[in-house]
Amino acid sequence: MNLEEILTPERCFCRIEGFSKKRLLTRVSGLLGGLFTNLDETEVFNSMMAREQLGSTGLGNGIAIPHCRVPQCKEIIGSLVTLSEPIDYDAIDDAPVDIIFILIVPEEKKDEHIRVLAGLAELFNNPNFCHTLRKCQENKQLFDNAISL
Amino acid sequence: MKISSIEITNEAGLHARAASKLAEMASEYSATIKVGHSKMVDGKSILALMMLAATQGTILNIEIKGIDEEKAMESILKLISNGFGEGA
Repeated sequence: MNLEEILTPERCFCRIEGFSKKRLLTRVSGLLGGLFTNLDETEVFNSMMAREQLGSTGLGNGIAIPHCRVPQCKEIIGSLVTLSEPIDYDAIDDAPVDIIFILIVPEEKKDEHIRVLAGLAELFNNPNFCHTLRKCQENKQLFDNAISL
Repeated sequence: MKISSIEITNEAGLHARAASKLAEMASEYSATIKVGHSKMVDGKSILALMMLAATQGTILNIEIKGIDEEKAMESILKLISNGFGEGA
């Protein structure tokens, strides 16, 4: 999977403050709502939190992949966030999270969703990838590193 | 060693939540558990399971080896045939 299909420099946020899962997802919803006129930030936030209720998207090793389905969405929208300090995310391994990849997915495109998850899983399974992302200091650097590894 | 195959029937395939449930269940057993199709991955790793990109209709092979292999296979086959609790 080519990460550039779903990620742009405007959707990379490096070393932001997370505070808590709820505050982080609130902030991310706001940021993405600001970038897309057809995205309602409240709807995105509620949808992502509902998904978290079903089971934390904190997969372990400090990585989380919050995601939601949004009917108005036509393409998969990805956003990459790293945090200045890890936050508690109720992750599967109980470890705090500091790398978050958000996915906003159309109602259809279930096969593409799986394909994107597989691509992300492969990237995040590589400790070098995570290490490099954590070392980034600003947004464009985060994007450049994410797409080139 | 126990070997079996099962089809992924739920609409969303082996997505993040399904992979989490499978990995969590597999981790309850001491046996080594491998899952896959063209390649076999560690069934106790969520990320490895997600890398399979197993959409609806994919046939997954399961290989389990260990003291509790029988119980592990039974539980895992049940989980997958129930569509991970999401309905087929």
